[in-house]
Amino acid sequence: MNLMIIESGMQRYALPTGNILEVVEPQTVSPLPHMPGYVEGLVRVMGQVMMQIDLAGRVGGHNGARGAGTLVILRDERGMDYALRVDRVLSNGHVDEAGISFFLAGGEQADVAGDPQTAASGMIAGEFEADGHTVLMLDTNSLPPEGIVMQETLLQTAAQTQSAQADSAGFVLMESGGECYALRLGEIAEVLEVTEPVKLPHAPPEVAGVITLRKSVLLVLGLSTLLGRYADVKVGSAIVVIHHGGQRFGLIVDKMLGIRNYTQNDLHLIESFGAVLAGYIADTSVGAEGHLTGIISLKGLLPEARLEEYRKFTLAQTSDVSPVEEHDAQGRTISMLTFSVGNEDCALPLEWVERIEQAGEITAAAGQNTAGAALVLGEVMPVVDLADAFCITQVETAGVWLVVRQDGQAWALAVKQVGRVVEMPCAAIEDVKRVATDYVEKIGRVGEKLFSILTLEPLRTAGACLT
Amino acid sequence: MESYLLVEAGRIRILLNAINVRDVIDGCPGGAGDEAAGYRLWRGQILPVKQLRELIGLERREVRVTVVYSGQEDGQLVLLDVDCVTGLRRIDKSEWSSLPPLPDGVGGLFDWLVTDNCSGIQLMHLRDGVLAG
Repeated sequence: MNLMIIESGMQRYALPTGNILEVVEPQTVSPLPHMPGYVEGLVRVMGQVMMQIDLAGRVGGHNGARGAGTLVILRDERGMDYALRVDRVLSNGHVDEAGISFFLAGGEQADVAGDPQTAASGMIAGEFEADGHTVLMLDTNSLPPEGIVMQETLLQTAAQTQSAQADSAGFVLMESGGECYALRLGEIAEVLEVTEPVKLPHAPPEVAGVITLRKSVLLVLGLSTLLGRYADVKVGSAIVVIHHGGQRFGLIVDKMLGIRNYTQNDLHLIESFGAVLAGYIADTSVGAEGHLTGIISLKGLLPEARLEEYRKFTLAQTSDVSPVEEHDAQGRTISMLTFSVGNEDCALPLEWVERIEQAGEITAAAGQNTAGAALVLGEVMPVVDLADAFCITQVETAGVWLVVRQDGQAWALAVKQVGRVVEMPCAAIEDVKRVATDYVEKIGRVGEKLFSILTLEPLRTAGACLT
Repeated sequence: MESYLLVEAGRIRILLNAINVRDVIDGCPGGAGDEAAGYRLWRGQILPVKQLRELIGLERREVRVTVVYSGQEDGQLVLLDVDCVTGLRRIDKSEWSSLPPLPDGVGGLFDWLVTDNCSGIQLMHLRDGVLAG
């Protein structure tokens, strides 16, 4: 039987090593109310708060010097962890069970060495001789005070707490048309103050117009009109900029209510394909009394048919400002897809990449800037071999196509292989572009590695040649 | 992120929901004997008096500070006598830790705790409704 021999109040004790989690130095103890003297309070060990018991006080009724000694962290058979403060740890080793006198229930043999009352309470399970000393074997299940409540909620471990946190999601709350709505935090790029949009002729009623945002044109829609609350767009107080379907839109809302985290328990999701609302949040503290907060489904709010209709207002405007410039203004990082062309390490903003496909058959086609044309998922698109564009000779055959879109035209960029997605700090990106036909626009750094960041601008020129 | 009033009774530090604190006033002269009747006057209202020390099993002593507190929003106000008010703490839910398994009488008083980063001491949050009745 493997036991740890400890000493407390001049008496030697043994603990089954299977119950020992850790041996640590004394920690700051926070006292607890209504506790017997031997319960010294709460300590945080290994990221977990647990009760601390003074062994000398527990078995002998005389507390040892607080703050001294060593903490042995134990787990009893109920799964409860606690810290046992002892004077010192003497040794660890194997003890032959034949040499241990186990006490019977009720402590009949307790008068051999230990206090009969202590044995009778079940704390001493037996005794044995070692190095000329009598060693009392402790029952780790009997050391904590009686009446412990092992409720599930109280047993929530740090890991479970973290898991609960991981389950929570951030929502941006807003008011529109007298109702409260929420959008997931990740769906929102930014929130702007309302500026008067420029009206667009022949636009649907929900289209308020366009505004300029960092040299780019942003189509602005009325949220309450999209949700069917009002026939026309009402003047609001904020514009929520969202990314959806590869485009950016501004949604006019009456009022921003803030950002809140909700756990899955707070969310009542509904499964209805194409519904404008994905569910509700049961948080009556938001908005008018008794009103629920609707979780907006961007897929339902802006289905593909609507996006197609809006594209005629936004086409040729969305790529005026590159994501790099946009993110740079906000001091953030940008998600980049890394890949190699020959021996060059390159990167593209991830949001530009529609798909990644295994390289397939290329049909020769006219056009000096392309390697030909290919059929990718039913769509014919020109293929640009980036190795050729970089004037890299004697390279391996491109293995992957990155499908991107420029001015509505899909392109397959042939590259050697795709790497991973990296978060590139915008501060670590520098301009290098010299001429309009250069694919390499910037150089970015992640750690010690440099990447050539590509622009899709040359595709526009190549597209003009195709047509 | 919510605000909590940190109070002390003996060596035990307890968090109260700041949103439920209406006032913090000097302790009533006379101290321990004053709440014999169980009530005290505050801004024209007769409010029940609770001793935090008594609640957590400590001996009574002269009251230094009284917190006008309701155990829950819109609940009954009580005058909670404490040893001292240490300050306000802003705590996010993500910082909460569960209480370890404790005897029922103790676990019923508190519902979660946080560790004070400076001192390493555990600050326990007084469970809503404990002061009721």
